Amino acid sequence: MTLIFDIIPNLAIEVLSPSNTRQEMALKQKEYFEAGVELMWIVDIEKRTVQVYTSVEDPGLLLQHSDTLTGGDVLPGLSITLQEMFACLDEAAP
Amino acid sequence: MEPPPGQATVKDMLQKVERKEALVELVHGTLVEKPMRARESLIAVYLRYMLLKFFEEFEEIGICYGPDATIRFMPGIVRLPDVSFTRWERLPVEEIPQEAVPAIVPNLVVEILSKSNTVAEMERKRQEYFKAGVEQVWMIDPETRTVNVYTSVKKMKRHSSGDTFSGGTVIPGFTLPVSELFA
Repeated sequence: MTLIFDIIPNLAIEVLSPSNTRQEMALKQKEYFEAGVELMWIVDIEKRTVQVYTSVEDPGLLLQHSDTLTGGDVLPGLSITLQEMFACLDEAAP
Repeated sequence: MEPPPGQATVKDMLQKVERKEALVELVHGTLVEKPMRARESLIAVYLRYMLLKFFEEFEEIGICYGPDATIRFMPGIVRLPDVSFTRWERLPVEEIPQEAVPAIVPNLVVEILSKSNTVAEMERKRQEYFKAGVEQVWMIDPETRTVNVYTSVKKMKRHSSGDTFSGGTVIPGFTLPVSELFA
């Protein structure tokens, strides 16, 4: 028996893996926004970027380097710098 | 599920996991599906959050992976524990592994039980984990709201709502009231 939530998140975040194709992510964008998602982030660990989408057609706003990720209308006041977000990838023993 | 039992490789497993076709573990060439579970995900993420807060406050003593980390415990066995914690000393170069499927043995593994998990299945997992060198396994049951802390395949201490469980020698100083996991 599986327990699957029948809810539509306001925010969906996807982290890219090497085998994810552009087509696949474009389809996700379409599905999510048609379902009612309001904000979508696609995180690229290799490039250390975040693409921000607010609609089905949105080509996406690219955030990189010292940019800051904000929550728009979904999470007003949220502010995460890309540097602090990707810093966890560089952790090492002190 | 393709490929047939006994013929699956790490690449097959990764492809399914990366494309989110299914959450699968690899056990000696056979892909084994991990059930889809939203509620359990909340518990796993909350526990990881509490562990990270603890490390931030006291000392960053290792890496704490969340629910979809693909970890090769031993040749032929790749599991996706719900939460795992690995001390720096256990990592080849004492930093974050860059491979998609790191071959590491966490000090701590946490599994959150689903209704479809059987007693035999969880015992088998504990056998694998302890054989690989895991020091502690926490099995969390949302149905009974209990946390079983295993220090060997069968040696276990049960904690119920109202109890507080701790990180023992694996994460000294870490404590958490059981009820917080299910709040």
